[in-house]
Order: sequence, then structure tokens, then C-alpha cells
Amino acid sequence: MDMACKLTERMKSWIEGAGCHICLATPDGVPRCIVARYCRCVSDEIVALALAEDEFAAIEPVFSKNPWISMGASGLGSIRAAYQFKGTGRVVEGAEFDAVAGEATDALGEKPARVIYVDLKELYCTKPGHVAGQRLDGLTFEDLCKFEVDLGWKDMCPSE
Amino acid sequence: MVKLTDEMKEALHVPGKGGSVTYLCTSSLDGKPNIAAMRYTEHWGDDKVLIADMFLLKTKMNLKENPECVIAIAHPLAGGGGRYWAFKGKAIDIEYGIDPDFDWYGVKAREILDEWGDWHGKQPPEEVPPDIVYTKAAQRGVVVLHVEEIYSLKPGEVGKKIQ
Repeated sequence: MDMACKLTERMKSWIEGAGCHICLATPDGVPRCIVARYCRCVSDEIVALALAEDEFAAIEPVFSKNPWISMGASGLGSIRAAYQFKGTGRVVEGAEFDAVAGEATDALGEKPARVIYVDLKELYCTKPGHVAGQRLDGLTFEDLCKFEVDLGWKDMCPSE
Repeated sequence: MVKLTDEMKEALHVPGKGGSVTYLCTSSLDGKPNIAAMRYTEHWGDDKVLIADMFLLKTKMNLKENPECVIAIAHPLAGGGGRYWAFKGKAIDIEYGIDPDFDWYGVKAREILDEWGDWHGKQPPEEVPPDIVYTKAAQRGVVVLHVEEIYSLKPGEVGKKIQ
């Protein structure tokens, strides 16, 4: 089955409102973590990360060898939006960079050094309890939305 | 040799005891990363971080094939100037049934499980809002990270080695 990873409006709200902790790994499995303070969902399947110079420098040695990125919402999102998003990243330039860099400059306090588009491929629930670790990208979008409602997840991200 | 500071130790408690939510980062041996937020966090001595194994799945699979691990805290509103650290090292899941004398970089399995083997009972999630609180889970063990390096996650100095 060709599974698609499509973000719900609630997921987008938390990703954009709270930013994300992101984890990468070397090809032989040494993880590295930074915080992507500015994230924007540029489509239902792509999250843009705008990174300052030091943030990108911290991951570049790993990212250049292995594009896999795993993400979870930061701040309150860690408990109220317990998802894990996984995909492969690519540095974008030109119009794609410009489309994100403007708003990101206000948020970061400086022009981002790089913008990475993460093409989402896997989606998991990480809420403690019986749903912990459940893979969600195999659900239809309607079932995914129902899953959120069944868990009682209705709140969108407040401004943090 | 790494030595956790008092400020770091203060952060490495459950949120209801003044700590911050942590992010547990692991990877499969072929480089697929995994990240999940954790409530049950504590420090042990000067160079170890503990996480409860209650709901771990992929993390557990990763640690069984690859001990490389990072535990991250990025909490801008805490501790005056914020908390921004990534603790990197090797971790193991000390599960029930393991030899009590098993030693992980100077700590015995028995010591860890005796003190933190019933984490939910010891530190129930009283601060977790009622609409998202979870039922008591069977704890299967404790993840013990032996910290070898500490990096900053503070904006402007991300990736800077602190220790």
C-alpha cells in the first residue's frame, strides 16, 4: 500500500505554533538534536524548517550524509500534541527559500541561514498509554481526523 | 569526564518537581532517527540521566541494537535564562529480569530499579492536565544514559560543546 503522510489542521497548528525538536542521525546511528524554532507547513506533506547559522552548522555534518529527520512539537506541544513526524529533508533555495525566510526572520531575529523542506513519510502518535507508538500514516485522512477526535484532541496551539 | 551542574540536575526532574520535559533521541543502526518527549526524567549522580521505560517502542528497539543516545532539554522560560542542553552518550534499557549486578558505567541495575522501578507510584503525573492524563502503565524498566558530552541548544550557540 502506498501510504501518504498528510497533516491535519491541528498538527499544522502545533508545528507552526510551538516549533519542533528535530533529531537526525549519522548513517551509522549517532543521533543529534536541535530545536527548529521556526517551522511552517508549506503543504499537507511538507514542513519547512528555517534555521539560523549555528543551528544549521550543528546538523550539517550529519544531514549531508543522511537526510532522515524526525520531529516532535516543542513546548506545550510535547504533551498536548504528542506526534512524531518523520521524513527526508532537502535544502531549498530561490523562491522556496524566500517564501519562508521573510516570516522566519521576524521569528528568529535574523535572516535564516538555510531553509530545509522535510518531505514527510511517516507519522506516529507518541501519547503515553495504549496509543503510544501507533503508526498513523496508514490511515485514511478521515480516519486520521477521527483518531484525533477519539483521543479528545481538539485544542489548537495557543500562541506561546 | 562530564559532570552535570546543579542547574542541569534541577532541570532533570519530572515537570511537577521543577524539571522540564525532555526529548529522548535514538537511532536505528542504519541511521533512522527517532524522537519522543518524556515526562519521567531524573539524574543519577554526576553523569547519568534516567528515563522511565513505560511506553517505549521504537526507542527500545533502537537501544537494543544501538546505544547511541541524546536527551535534550530546550525550555526558554525555565531557570532564569532558560535551559538549553543536549546530553549525549550511551544508553541502555535496564529492564526487569536483568542480572541485578549488571553494571552500566558504574551503576548497578539493582540500584536503579530499587529506586526508580515504580516511577508512576513515586511521582504520579499530578501536573498533567486531566484531559490528557493517561492510565497507570506497567513500567518495564529504566533507560540509563551515561553522559559523555554536553552541547548547548541555546539560540546563537547551538552545537557548542559545554563539556
